[in-house]
Amino acid sequence: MSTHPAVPLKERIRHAIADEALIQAVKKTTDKLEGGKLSSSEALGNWEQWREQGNRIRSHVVAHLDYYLGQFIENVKKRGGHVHVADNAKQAVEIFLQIAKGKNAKSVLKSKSMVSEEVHVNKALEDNGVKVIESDLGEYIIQLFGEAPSHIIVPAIHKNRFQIADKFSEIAGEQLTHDTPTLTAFARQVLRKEFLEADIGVSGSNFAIAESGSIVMFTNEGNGRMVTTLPPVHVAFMGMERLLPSFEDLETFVNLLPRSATGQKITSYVSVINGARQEGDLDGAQEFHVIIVDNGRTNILGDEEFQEVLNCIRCGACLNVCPVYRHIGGHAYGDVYPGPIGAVITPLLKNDFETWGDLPYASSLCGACTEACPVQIPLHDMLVKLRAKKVRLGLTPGWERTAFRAWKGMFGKANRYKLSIKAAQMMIPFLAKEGYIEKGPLNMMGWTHARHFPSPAKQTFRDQWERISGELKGGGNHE
Amino acid sequence: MNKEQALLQRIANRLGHSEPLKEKPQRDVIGAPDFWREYQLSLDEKIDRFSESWRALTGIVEVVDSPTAALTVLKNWLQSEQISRVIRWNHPELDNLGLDGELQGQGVKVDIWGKGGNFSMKEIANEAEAGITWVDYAVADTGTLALFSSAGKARSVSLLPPIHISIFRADQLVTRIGEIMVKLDEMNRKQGLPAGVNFITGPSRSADIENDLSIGVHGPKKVYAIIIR
Ligand code: SF4
Repeated sequence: MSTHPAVPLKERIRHAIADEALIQAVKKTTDKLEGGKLSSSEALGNWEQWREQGNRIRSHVVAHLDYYLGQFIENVKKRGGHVHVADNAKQAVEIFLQIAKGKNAKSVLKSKSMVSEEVHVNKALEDNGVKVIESDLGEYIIQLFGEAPSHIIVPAIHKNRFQIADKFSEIAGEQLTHDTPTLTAFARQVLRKEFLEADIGVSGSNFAIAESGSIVMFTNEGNGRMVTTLPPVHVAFMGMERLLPSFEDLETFVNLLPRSATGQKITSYVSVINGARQEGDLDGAQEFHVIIVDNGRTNILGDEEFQEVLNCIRCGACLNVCPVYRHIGGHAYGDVYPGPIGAVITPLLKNDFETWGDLPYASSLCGACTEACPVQIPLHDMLVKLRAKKVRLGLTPGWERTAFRAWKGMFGKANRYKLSIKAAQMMIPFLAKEGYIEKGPLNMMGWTHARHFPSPAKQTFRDQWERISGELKGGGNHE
Repeated sequence: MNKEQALLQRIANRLGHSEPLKEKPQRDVIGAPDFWREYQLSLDEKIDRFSESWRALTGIVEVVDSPTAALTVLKNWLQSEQISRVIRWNHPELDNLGLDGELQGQGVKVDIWGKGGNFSMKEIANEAEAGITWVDYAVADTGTLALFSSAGKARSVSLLPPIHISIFRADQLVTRIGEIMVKLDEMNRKQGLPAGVNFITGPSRSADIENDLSIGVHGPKKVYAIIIR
């Protein structure tokens, strides 16, 4: 099943870059996050070795996922937990609705879960008359606005304090000031009541421990703890690849994930949930469910080119460094996962290149994402391979294929190449101004729409080389 | 074949295994990198490192020489915060400290988790102005507390009140979090894992409004620690 974005990528981008406030907010926040990541990873030291370790552990798990997922399922059950498998988004929603109906739930309190966003559980609940509240401050804000998150870690990155104060004031029935402490205190007060009364708490899981059947959450606000401690039922959503073999392995990710996400040494809370409450406990859920979601992930397994993308720990670091993300924000990507990770994983998860195959083009291929990724996913290589895949599937426009055939014909032979360069050079005086081409002909127009193309050098490299190599051969002792 | 088996079989097929692996796979790397495992601080270094990290996140910490001194510090803090209601873990170390009588003498009502009579413990914890715990371990490297849940050691006590005060002995400090992770693996192998383990570092925080740091979103706004040497 594949959902469709309402408008094509180019349209979405045009819309996004017109929003000056959005672009400023995204730049400011991503700068801060990226700066935090750089200084905290430097302070830790040996960052490359940590990345290597992270990559090796995650790659091992993904390559043996049948073992580790099987072990996890068995151990959750041993602890009395309920395991549900959802092959796709629709099933995930149905499973959750079944649980909610079975419990006669009126109110569902959620902490952050990207997978629950991926399968769109909120709307289904609301349609069934169940109140559903996002309790992560950023998620709460965008839920009030009826919007979707635009950053994995900072979902309301695109909203400013004035907009937020106005929205909160509507609910409060009085005008609130727009300072952060007032806004935070308001959310605390409103949501605290909800936590205590909720019938079901929903969480995501950053990691799942195979050997013990535990889920692990990295959070800062404490809402993740609330929804797993107070309501009688806890349902955890989990992507099927989220596993680590044992707690010992978690140490590497305690060091990698918070630094990469927000520049923190560790999040305020790292919470391990080992099933429902135990004998004598007076808090913690009485019933624990985990919904293991496939939703296209198996498609990626066993695919040599792309399997490694399942190593992703959803830290958002690749977003913060991406020049494209920084210019267009998250919504332009059209689905839940934005930035370079979104551009790679969305077409793969949906297995639909016709609708989503343009996402890998939302990249300058600068490689900053690959360098930022704490588990060394070669994101920009994958972006190129995804473009190639789109071509192989015959989904690129006819004129593009013709153009590249012509290009190949021209540049595949040395003399033709020389000739074409000569021809291009003759055009320079008509196109370039002060060393730059500001408006290129035909297909260059898209490229020069937002930036200048440096005008070709007066003398080509080949010409220069001919001269220099002649001089070098002519002697000249360099010692 | 049920849905779980079908999923595992599907995964196995994709990975080129004829059926889901049953044998524990060989591993070449486990846990943290080797150089990190060698990281080991002395007791004094651990105390310093913990205190430094704890303070860096607005936490307040005192290192004292005796349980009596710990009690004095605790009383002072509660007084300066003008606290009249606390909830504490039902924990033998806290019993031994004798804080109930001392605090009540100071006009502070002390509730003990699990001893609320007919009242809901969650409600009591929600109304308390501070929660007091005796943590299981503390991590020097990051200034982190490790709390294992049990009947008397409820998660709500370190979560619902706006202030969390934890007390522990210096010998409960470890250098890195991985040392506790290994203990969790051991506990699991002996079927002894608690329902919840929380690693707590600093107050509850958020940067969701314009990336401006705010403290005490849902959990405690202030965190205090007393280390007894
Ligand atoms: S791809 Fe890498 S950098 Fe991007 S979110 Fe995933 S783990 Fe983080």
